[in-house]
Amino acid sequence: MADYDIHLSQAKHNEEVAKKLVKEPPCHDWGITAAFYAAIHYFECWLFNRAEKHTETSIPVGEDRKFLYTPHAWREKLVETNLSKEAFKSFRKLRDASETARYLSFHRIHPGDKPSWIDKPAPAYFSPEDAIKLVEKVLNSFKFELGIKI
Amino acid sequence: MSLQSTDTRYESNLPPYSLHIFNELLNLLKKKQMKASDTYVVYIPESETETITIDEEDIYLIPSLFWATQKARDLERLALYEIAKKFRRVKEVKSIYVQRYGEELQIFVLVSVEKYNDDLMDKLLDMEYDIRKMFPELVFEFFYPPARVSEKKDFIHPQAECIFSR
Repeated sequence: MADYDIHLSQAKHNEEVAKKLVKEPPCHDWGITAAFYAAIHYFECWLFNRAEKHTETSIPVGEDRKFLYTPHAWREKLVETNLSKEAFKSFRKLRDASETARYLSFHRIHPGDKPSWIDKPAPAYFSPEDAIKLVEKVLNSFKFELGIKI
Repeated sequence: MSLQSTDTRYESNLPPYSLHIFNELLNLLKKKQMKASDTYVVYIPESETETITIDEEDIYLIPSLFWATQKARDLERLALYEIAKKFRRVKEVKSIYVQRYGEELQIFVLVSVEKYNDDLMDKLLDMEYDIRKMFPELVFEFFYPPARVSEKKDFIHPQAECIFSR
């Protein structure tokens, strides 16, 4: 499990990649995903000095020792309960956009069937301007709410 | 509720409540950390059925336990009702499905859009935030898949519950 410094350097690396990719259409859709993973590492950095320390190790478990929630759901709960509405919305916007950019439709919820896609790939669904906004505005807003110097 | 007496224990085929949640509630009742008048909310997956054995000395707790678990079920239904009520006001929302994963409620809000719409996402996330604050005891995951040409039967799990469709 990574510590504060590792999370921070990984977050910065992912953010740099995101900034590069969004300026290189048609690769800009992957910039959104890199930005989301930057946001995760910035959040884990913030969480490291708090009681939970890591999302994965603080997930509540049942008596059968199984996780009650997925790491994504638990992290969002931590974001929602510990941070501002602005931080929550920024984080959720990045997550949702990155999921859409990677999958477009949610075939993973019905693995037995053929996936059903919208009729265009992710670089056409997200314009380069959308991607730049998500990386430069939304990710910066999340960092600001976490108290990380932009 | 039917109770069967065994040597020193009573057994009851309870409604499909999760075993660990049942035990958690029972412990809280025993420790008097929860009264029947309190609202203690947990998510109870309906797909899990367990036969619970209760010690004789704990049998008096059952009415409180049923009360508490019923409240939890009611709250979950109320949350789904509020979700449908809120999101149906957004014209781009085509349908809403719910499925359970572990103890969390996964909400799929299918939106009819052809391009990413940041203003729409703002609107949807404002609503999601309100729902989460209204029901802090529940853990959600919301998804907003674009579904312009998709048919819901192609990518929604057969067990998922439709709570809104237009």
